[in-house]
Amino acid sequence: MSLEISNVSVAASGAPILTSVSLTVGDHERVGLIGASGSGKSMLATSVMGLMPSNVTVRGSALLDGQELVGLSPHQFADIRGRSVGFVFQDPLASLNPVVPVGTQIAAPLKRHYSLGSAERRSRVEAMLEKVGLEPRLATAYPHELSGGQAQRAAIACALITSPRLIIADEPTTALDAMTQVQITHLLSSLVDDAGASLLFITHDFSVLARVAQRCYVLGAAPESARAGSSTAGSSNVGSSNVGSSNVGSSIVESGETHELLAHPRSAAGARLVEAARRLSFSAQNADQMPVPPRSHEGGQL
Amino acid sequence: MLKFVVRRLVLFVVALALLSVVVFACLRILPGNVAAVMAGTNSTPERVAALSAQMGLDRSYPAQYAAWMSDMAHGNLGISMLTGRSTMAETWGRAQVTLPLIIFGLILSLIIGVPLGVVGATRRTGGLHSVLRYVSLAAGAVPALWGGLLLIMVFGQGVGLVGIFPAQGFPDNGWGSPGQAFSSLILPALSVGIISGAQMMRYTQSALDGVAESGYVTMAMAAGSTRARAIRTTGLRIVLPELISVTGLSFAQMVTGVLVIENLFSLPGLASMLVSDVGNRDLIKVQSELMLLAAFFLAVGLVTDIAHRIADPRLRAGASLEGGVQ
Repeated sequence: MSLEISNVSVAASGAPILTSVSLTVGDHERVGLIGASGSGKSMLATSVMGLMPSNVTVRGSALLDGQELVGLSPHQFADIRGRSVGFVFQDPLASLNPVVPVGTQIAAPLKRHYSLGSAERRSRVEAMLEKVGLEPRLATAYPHELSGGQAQRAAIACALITSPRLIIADEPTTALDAMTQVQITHLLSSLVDDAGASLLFITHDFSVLARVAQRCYVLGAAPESARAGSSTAGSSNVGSSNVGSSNVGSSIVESGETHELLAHPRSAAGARLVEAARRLSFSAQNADQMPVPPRSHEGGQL
Repeated sequence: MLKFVVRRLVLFVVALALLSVVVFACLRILPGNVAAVMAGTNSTPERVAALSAQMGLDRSYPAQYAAWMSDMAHGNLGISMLTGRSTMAETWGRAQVTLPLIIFGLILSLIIGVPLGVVGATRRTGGLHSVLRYVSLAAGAVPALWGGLLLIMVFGQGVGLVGIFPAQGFPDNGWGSPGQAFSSLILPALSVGIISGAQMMRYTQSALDGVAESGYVTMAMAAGSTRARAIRTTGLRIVLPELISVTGLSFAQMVTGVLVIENLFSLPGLASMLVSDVGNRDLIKVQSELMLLAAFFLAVGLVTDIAHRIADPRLRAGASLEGGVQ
């Protein structure tokens, strides 16, 4: 399933967050969207899928296999979400309902979109749990009884249970430890490939992205040309000239093959993100040779 | 869970025992002694002494307390000084008016409050949201007495604009004529139910507002719900334990709240009995009544706590499922 976002601008209470963003996720493709915290990358995914708060307005065009998403009614959005598009969010323990067993939650999209018997639903949930590497008995567990990694596996099961053709993963590894991050990204990519689905993977971390996405887009402060364009076109941009980029919103500053972009980032935002990823992996590789900083207060006075 | 219930029951008994000491002590530290107060200011010392002996008040305090407790344990709440009837029988008769009134009022409060609170939380923009907020504020601020009077003036038989419900008294044969008994509780129950319902509505709305844009609701939306539907299902389920606690509190509040209402509608209920017994200085009966009231409050708290725990799996002490596949 393909997603074509073209010239999407998003504003919250009139303040621009994204300006003229265009990106494409092709059929069976795994595409990354990377940007620093606060650059509005999550907002892009939520707003084209109708998950944004009521004060957010969206302009532009987003085509899901040719179907225009911008301007759909809440009910039309609800018919698409959970059936054609699955979502994985950042913090599973802040998104899985804490008072409902995970099995029931994994079954929710099935129940919403398909009329299956409860026995059939249960067996599909159990099969899905095994696919994501959880024991079927965990269907009766509550989210607080799972570890962070287990909970994110359950959340992935929620997203994939209806075999949607597009998965949007919004920082799915940020709340997890490094070891679990690797497992979850691997699981997600292999499940997406097995299902023949497409993936839009949102993150701020190039080291995670490099494992998942063949192609990626970097979101950063909108360049001058976009600023000029949007201030002439939009009413939402009043008073932006005196403060700078934060009042214009973010935009795609570069895109390309992930490995090429990692080797030669062309934009400032891309270079910063690559540099951050390098530093992290460098310090991890050299951790055993680095001197341990001395403790400033020996004797436990703190 | 069983451990929790047992612990909570033990706490219930301990609290009840402590309260019995407080009630007993309060009536003993009245100026003079209970017999003197009951006999009245103009009675002779002989009359007071006779009353003391009759009620066993000439014994030591521990002996009196022990006798009272043993009587209570056997379901004997003593005898009214004024009517000579057993307190238990009188209380039971009165409870047949008050308990249905409270339960009826509580049901009305939930029927009014929860759906309107949900509507208020799902219509997050626009006029209805504000209108509902103001209605709940205004209705919650109305004193029960005034609200009851208004209801009588509008719906009371014989006095109201559309006199369709009885506004005074309760049938003499009680629930022997159920239709009549029920209809005589409609206006009183509305008086307490509307006010408590307005409170319930505000609680529901603000609790749901707290989760309306949370990750839980977004997750439910991602599974194929509109935001309104996600708030109605996922949101309401998440705040259910909170609402159970609030319902328990309103229940306890109503026990005292119906005092005014029973008097306004001339209902022969528990509250009016307690007030007239205090006025009549029927102190031994008052002592037992206070004890029953306290037990009732504590029982409501007990049931609320257990229901809260059932509704919130995070509080249930259950088997940990750690060690599943990572």
